[in-house]
Amino acid sequence: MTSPETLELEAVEAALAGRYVAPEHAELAELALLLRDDRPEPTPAWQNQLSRRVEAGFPARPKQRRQWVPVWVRKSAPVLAVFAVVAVIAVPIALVGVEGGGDDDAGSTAAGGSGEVAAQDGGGGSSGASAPENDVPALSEDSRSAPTAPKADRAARRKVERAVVMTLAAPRRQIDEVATDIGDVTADVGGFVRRSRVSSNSGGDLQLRVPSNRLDTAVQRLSKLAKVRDLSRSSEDITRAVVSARDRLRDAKAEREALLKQLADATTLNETESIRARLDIVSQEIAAARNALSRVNNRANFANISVSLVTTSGAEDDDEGGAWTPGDAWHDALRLLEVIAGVLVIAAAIAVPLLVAWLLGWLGRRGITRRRRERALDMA
Amino acid sequence: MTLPATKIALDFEALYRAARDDVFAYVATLLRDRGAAEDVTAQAFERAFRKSKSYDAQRGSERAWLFGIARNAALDELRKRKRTAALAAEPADVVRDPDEAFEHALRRAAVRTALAALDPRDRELIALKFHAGLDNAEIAGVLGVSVSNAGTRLHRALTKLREILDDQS
Repeated sequence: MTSPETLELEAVEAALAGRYVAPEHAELAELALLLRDDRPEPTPAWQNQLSRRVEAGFPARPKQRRQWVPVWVRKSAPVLAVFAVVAVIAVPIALVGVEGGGDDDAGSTAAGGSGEVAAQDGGGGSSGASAPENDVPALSEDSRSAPTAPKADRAARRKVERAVVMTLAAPRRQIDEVATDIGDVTADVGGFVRRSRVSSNSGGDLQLRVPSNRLDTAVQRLSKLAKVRDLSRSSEDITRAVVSARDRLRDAKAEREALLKQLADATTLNETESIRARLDIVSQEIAAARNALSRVNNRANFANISVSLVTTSGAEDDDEGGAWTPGDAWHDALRLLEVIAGVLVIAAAIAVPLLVAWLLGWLGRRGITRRRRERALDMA
Repeated sequence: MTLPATKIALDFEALYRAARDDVFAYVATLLRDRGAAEDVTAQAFERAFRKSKSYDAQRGSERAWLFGIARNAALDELRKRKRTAALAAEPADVVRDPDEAFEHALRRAAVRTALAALDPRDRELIALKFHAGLDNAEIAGVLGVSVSNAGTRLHRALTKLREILDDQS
């Protein structure tokens, strides 16, 4: 059964459509027509004006230029600026972290403990080394003694023995070439090859001595000759040994001076011969002390580089061939994708919370606006 | 370029020609201010023009979409004014047609008075139905309610209007 409400609404629709309306709804139909016919009508002038604006595509009116930046954005500009600055700082830092953390190359494995060098103390650290330390050009004694040096310079004047152990890998066919290059690099930095044993098939070992102040340069250049499999650095403070050797030399010299004075004052033959015999001994002690000082100074002034030259596997040979192969392209592409993914993750970590906050703000603002509009209608 | 199925291109000029006077009538009844109604109607069409690319046919008819924009513009005007203005110049043409029967003219005046006395929400429903010519489905779309609820509200508004008219007589 149709409700009275529905019947009345149908009567309204029928009246508006010009259809028949039952007599009991005649009054309602008349009201509907009155309402329809009595609606407010716009003036022709306004109609024409609006039509012209529609045809022109609603040109912007200069006095009512729209603020494209919403008020809430302008008010929160400082906060957004802080977020932007944090993002600008954080992204590169994070990127550096990604790069450093992922690339664990052999070049970064430096061992700083002095215990490793302790085993080399005293003869250059090479058990079968036949080359004497005197191979190294001797330094002048004057440069080794600086008793009046200020305290600030003492730290700089400390004597440190440095050593590097590195393993270089090269394709079998390049072993000889790399070994030759190692010698060239060593000579270029002012050093020398102390010992070498290299086989074209299996690689070999080279013991290098380079000036300590050129050690980093030498290692850097050697690292470019072949793939660095391993690299470790060590250092040992040998200042005490230098000072001890210097003291022994000074004491011996002082004794010789005293003996020479005694010799000048000697009056008897026996006394003279006794002093001369003692002078011979002291002269030998001076020579020994001088040699000892020279050796220990050379340990500080020249660093040891122990290079193990090994052959690479077949797959690595392909990689080290020099030409840019499809395999290289594949690895580069993967690496590039890793970096891009890292950047995207970091960007998302920053952007997602901001977007969520913005979305919540937008939804809240929309809801508030809607409630205010409805309230305005109630108050109208 | 072919638009997606839900993004039917809006013929804005056709919509404007068909709905301009209807929108004005609705806004004028809601605001009860002809001058403000002209401004708000123009503003509503400009907003619709700017947003015409975002119109989605699946979310309602073009007229419902347009009247939704006009309603928001009108309510924003009400918020801005925080007051209601008299329907300026509207009742002045009670005797627009000299040949019109006196009784009929009186009846029209009574309806206007009753309409002005209605609650704003009920007056809005009357305006949407009789001044703007929307069907119940379009009214539901504009107000964000169901079609049956729109019909119920409309019937209630008509009942109140008739009660006011009865009280006047």
